[in-house]
Amino acid sequence: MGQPTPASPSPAELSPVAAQVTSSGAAAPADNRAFAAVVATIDRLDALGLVDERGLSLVEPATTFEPAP
Amino acid sequence: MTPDAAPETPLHYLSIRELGARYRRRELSPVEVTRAILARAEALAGRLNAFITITADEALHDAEQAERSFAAGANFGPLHGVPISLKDLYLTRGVRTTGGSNILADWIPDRESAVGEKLRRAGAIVVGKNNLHEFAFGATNENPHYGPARNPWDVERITGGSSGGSAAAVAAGMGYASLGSDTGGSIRLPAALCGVVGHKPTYGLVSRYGILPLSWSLDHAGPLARTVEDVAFVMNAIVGHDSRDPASVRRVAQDLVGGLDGRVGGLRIGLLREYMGADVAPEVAAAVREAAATLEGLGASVDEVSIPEVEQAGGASIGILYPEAAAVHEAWLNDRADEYGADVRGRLEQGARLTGVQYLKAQRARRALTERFATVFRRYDLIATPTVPILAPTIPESRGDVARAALLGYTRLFNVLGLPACSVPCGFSEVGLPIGLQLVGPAFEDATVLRAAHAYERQAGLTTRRPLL
Repeated sequence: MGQPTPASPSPAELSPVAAQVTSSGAAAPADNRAFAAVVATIDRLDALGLVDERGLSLVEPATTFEPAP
Repeated sequence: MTPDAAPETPLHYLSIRELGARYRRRELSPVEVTRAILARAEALAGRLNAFITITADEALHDAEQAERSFAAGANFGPLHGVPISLKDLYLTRGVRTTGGSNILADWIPDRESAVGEKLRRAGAIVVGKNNLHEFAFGATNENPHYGPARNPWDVERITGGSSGGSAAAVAAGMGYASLGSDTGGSIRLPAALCGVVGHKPTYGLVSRYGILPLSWSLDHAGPLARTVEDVAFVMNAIVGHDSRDPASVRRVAQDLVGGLDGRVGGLRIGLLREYMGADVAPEVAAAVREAAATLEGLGASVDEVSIPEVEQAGGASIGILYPEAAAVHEAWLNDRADEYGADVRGRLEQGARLTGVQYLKAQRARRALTERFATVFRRYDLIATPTVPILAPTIPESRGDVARAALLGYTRLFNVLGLPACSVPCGFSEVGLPIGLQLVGPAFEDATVLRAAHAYERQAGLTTRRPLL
């Protein structure tokens, strides 16, 4: 308590890869648009009923993957 | 079984069965055939760019060994003395393995892939390493480091990827089969666009040990060849448990060749409505409907099935593939990012930006989709779709977003589900471009998938049409 909340680490601190992405200059807006499209595609997965109307998560991840026989 | 080849069938287009028969009758020798395949590969290298490395010396050495084995009365089976090739994603002991990249341009592994080991033990002769989309992370096979693989049916058009060199090599008679990899459709897509057969086995059935990974939980290894029977011969040689691949399953291997002539009558086939809509090119839709009618004529029942959840396949695939690929490439992406082609680098960087929550959402979607398909396969033995909804685009056309989205749109779902899926040629467009039918079965029902594909192939009679080269 009373301590200042540390600032969130920047992408550069988290990952050199992320740093390259965010400092990629002129190409960044196009990169960001492409990335936004990827994120939107993943967001739409909620349509599969992954959560109920209260936001309760209903489906566990397939962490160890083997196709059901 | 595949009928004997007509006498006029060129040597490089013989079936594996016919090639073996001519070896046994001493009408052909492995050295003679390997020389002919190598000569063809060299002659077509400039037009098709299907190989990154041609291993002529090693192939001829192996062919001489095969010849001695035959002379001594040994026979290792149907692949004995059969020239094949490997996508340059498969590690080859003592032979460079580039992954289609600049990063590994000079890498000579000290070990062999599990599939390569099995094929060599079966007597197959590796004539070279096929061109591919860089690190298998793309659908066009437009490779910035080694040039594009070109479609034998029209060299201005893409082969599809990422196993594009494999498909071109098989279609053009530069080997009797090739081994590819499939993370979102990379065996089936180029097979469809190049007019050959490609099979993505059930996840876990074929070891990925010694194949450069792209996405551990989506990667599959499998064959491309000119007929379903040839694919089955290769499958028989490469299936089996391998403790070096954590995903490898322990199952009693089925004889996939022996099962080809079983009954198709009575099979219940669902034609997937969501993959037969307005996005499908009219000539593709017509060919797939005709194929469905052919299967009905063979005694199968075919009706349309709607599975609206498949519209989410893209999110599930990308949400798993991109982060796993970014994890695979993390070290190089941090230190050598400039050495990637722009498209692959862009996808890897997007993968690195996705969060754990987004990755797990995709894994949850995978579970939901798997459960949905478990119910679908209570009603159907197989699902049928176009392999690709469009015809092979030209190389410039393939750079557009619409073409790129279409190329893997109907295949990647079955990587998420890990289900066996085979692309078999089902027609040609008016300008002579191949069209593929995709047949998908429940997990570990590879035999049923290949049986139906084989029955269709025989009835359709398309296997003798060749590209003009």
